[in-house]
Amino acid sequence: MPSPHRVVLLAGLLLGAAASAQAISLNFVGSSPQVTTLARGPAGCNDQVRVAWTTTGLNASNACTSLQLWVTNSQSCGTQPGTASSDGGTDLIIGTFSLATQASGLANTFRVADMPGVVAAGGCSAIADIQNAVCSSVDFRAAGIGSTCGTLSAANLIVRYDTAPPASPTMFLLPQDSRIVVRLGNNDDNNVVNYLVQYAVEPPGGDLPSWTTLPQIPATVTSQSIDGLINGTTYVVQAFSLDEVGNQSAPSPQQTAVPQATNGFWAEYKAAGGHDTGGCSSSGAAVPSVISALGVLVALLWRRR
Amino acid sequence: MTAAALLLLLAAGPNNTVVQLRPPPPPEPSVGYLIELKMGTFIPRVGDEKGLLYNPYETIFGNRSMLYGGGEFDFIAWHRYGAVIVGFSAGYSEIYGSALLQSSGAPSSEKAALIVFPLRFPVGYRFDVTWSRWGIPLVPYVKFALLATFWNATKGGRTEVVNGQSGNGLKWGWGATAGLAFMLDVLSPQMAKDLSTDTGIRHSYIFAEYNYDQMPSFGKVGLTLSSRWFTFGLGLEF
Repeated sequence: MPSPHRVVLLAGLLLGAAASAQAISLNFVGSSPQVTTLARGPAGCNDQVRVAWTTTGLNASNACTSLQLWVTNSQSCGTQPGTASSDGGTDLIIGTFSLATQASGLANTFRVADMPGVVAAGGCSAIADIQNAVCSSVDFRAAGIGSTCGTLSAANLIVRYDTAPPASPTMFLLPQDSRIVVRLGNNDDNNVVNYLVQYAVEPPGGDLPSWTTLPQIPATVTSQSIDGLINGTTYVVQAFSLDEVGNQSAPSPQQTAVPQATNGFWAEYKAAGGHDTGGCSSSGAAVPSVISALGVLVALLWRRR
Repeated sequence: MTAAALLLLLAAGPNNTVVQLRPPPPPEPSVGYLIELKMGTFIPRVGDEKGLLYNPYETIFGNRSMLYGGGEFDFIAWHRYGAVIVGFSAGYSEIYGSALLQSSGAPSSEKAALIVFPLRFPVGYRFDVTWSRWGIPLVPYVKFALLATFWNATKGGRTEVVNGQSGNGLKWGWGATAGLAFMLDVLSPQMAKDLSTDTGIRHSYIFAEYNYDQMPSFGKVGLTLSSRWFTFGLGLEF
């Protein structure tokens, strides 16, 4: 005979299980691997976004309303699409679906430019970092037929429109032999994911430099070498930061450096009249001979064991 | 005789001293191996090369020594009155300095380095009778080794090239080593016994040794990496 405490505990567990049996999940269509945040920059303002939805444990018998999906600029999704300015403007409804006929489906396609946050900021030309959430909700009876309706919602997707450039990188030049090593820092901006370095021979007078652009390097690499330079020539260097969506910072302050010929140990050795010619050829045919002899020796000793 | 001794013991009674007859220690196994970790410092005798106008090692690195770290594995091939070993040793050593501006000879922001990977193929004799028979915890030893040393001179993190000649290579030579090991077993015999039972480490020791390395590379005149140096380390005998 179960005690009253056990009955209450069992009922609680059953109710909890029933409550957790219903769920809505949202995914971006076409994103591989699956992501929960989709970021777009100015070039992606007119990109189309589509969301797939799937429900679990919801059907005509327990759903009180249709499933709604919308995009909001509000701080939180709430239980239904908002229209007040306090909600960040009118939310963009991207679909209403009856759970009596389908348990999963695709919401209407929308453009990044149509998101409430982007519209409110003035469209694609806005300079901002806007995050909009994709929300969904449905009212359903958690305790079965005859019970009151509660709201189930999901808001696990974010669409980000970012046109704000990252901070310019910090830059420090180390002139070396026929090259300049550029040391880069993100200027405490954690949005920086890549750097871009340009260099040019310092032009005479007020002429504009004729820039050569190096391939982008990840921000985890904080040093880039500009090779093949002419010793004694003054070069001007500048660098840019790029964020996740390719927004480019203003250039760092330009700096100049003059590569100069240097001698390391080997050059000093040769300058002092050293006879060695380097390379492994100095070992000649002796290498395989000696290694073979050692092999034979070890084998003999091993046999003795 | 034995019966007489037994009678004497019985007659002595419980209050008298009992002589315990301990069996002799087991003989050392005829084979085994040694593993050593060692470190040291050395200055290659680059300036010994005939015809050099000055010592380029001192020019770039001054009087600083190269720091060496390495290990050695030795096979005990014969173990009766002392032990004969044959082995292999590998290490790493490097030193950094500033490359010099050609225009002024002043130090530049560019780093120059000499990196060497010394390999040794030693044959040696350890007079460990001092410990195994006489109980003196000091074991002298000598080794003769074939040396093969890879070297690499870098500037700015890359192998330096001068007139198309790369600053790297392989030098051959020979080396003689004399050393003294202090058997740590003497500090705690019980712990040494437990270590042997649990892990198979028969002996552990620290050592210091003097190395006399010559690298004539079969008579070919070139970069001299010969040296006279000390190494210190910890060894385990299995």
